[in-house]
Amino acid sequence: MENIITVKDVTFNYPGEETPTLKGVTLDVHKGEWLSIVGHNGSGKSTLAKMLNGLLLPSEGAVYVSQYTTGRPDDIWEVRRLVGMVFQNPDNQFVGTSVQDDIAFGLENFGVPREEMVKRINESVARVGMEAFLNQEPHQLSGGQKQRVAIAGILAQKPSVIVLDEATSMLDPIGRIEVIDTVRELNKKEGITVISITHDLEEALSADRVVVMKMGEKAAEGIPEDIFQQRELLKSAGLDLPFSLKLSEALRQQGVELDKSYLTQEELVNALWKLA
Amino acid sequence: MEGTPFERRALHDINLDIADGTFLALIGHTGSGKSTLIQHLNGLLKPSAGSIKMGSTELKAGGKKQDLKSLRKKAGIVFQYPEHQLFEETVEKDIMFGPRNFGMSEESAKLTAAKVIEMVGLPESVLTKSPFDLSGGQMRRVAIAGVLAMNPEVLILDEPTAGLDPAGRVEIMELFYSLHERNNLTTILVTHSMEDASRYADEIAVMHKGELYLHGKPTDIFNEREALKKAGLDVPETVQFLQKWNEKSGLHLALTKFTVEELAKQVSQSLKKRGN
Repeated sequence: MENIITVKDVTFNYPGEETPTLKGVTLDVHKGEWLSIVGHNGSGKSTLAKMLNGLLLPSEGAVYVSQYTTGRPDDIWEVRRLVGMVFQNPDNQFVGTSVQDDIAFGLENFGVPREEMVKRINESVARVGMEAFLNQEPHQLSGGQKQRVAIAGILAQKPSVIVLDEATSMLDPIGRIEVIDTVRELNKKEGITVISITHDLEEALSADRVVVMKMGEKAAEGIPEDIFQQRELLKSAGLDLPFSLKLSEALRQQGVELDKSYLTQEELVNALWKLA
Repeated sequence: MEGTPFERRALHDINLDIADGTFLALIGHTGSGKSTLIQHLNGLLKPSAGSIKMGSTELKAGGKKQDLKSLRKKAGIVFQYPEHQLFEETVEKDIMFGPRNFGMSEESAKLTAAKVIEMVGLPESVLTKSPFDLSGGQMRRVAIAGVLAMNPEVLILDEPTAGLDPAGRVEIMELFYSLHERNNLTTILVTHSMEDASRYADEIAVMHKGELYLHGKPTDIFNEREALKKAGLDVPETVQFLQKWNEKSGLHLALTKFTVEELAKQVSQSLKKRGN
């Protein structure tokens, strides 16, 4: 499988902090996958996210994006074009006075000519379903819509990877679904690689792969089916269990003889029906 | 913004009685009017028509300058991201600020600070620290302590767990619930989370398009799944699962408590009955 990002032996210290926030993290991100990174607050997952497009640079080790290295000043613009970040707070990432100005801002920074710019703006807002809002001011948009504009801004740069850094945690349930569905379509239809830093375990369940971060280290990596069966691991990493797993476990404690823990409600209902 | 083009009716004809000692969950998606409603409860906003009565204090539309001070003392609001409102040099001074403003002596305010810091589960040694040297979770607790220092009878919580990780969320909600129980408070929890509403609330009020859309006990509200969906909401996962199980098994089980344990108990008992 082709890797789009490789994180190699990365250690990172914030200035003045004694214990490193990241300790010897090595990670491959496969092209076109949806990778979820989970872990409690302070596990280093957001720091890791900021490593991926060179917002932070490793104290030791290196991060490679395609053929580029985040630590090389000559490469950094290309790295940032290839890896777009959507942050937590929708209100902190709007810079323009309208949707199209906001998207144009990023393109101006890259010196894209005007005609090309107009074309890319129209194209990218259409891909996130925001074409009706081109001239709207930011404060007229909902949180979910603001995040979709942030994604359109990234798409206009023709990226390979979108990093969601808890991008849905401040949204209401409708906004969350709006953003996740938008990104999922880009992932499935256009093959854009998605790295999602998240507390939402149900979202992580539908990822291709999951990485568990704990105290600055990578504690586990694998497909959701394997990761979420490892109860002790999740507990020691300060994570909750997804609903169906919690229920599977509670049922076993009640003496129901389930053969394994199930990840979805449908699977669990069917398994119980067979026992009836 | 009355009399300007921006004038918009955010709330419409709300009638809601909240009995002493109730834990009420106020739920609805962004823009449904729930934050506007709670800002009326301590006089931050005054109604354009109608009135708000809390205990013996009444706030009427078009009335004179009313006794806002006693209303504000009675009702303490914990806003979203309350840690953003910390400003003093030390935790102790920050907590003392409110009580001092309401005329409490320096000495009693100090005693109060020591009392409330314990109530939010922080050691007394925190009092001499700068609030800005604390972790995010600790800062939030300090901000909550500042509200408790006013000794409110009504505690209004505006999405108090936003931005916390799952473990932090449970901790803070358990903290509020035990404060509610121990101090006989009336608690109003504004939330997006049907899970939190189902776990802690005696009553649920659903806001939709500026109107009070549904109001009742959790069991009654969760019978209205179609109506909830229209308001962009859904029943909690425990209820979703039980509905699936009822459909499959032809049973009519119902929950009285909305915990995974209670659900497991009901489902396992229904299996045993079929086995006999």
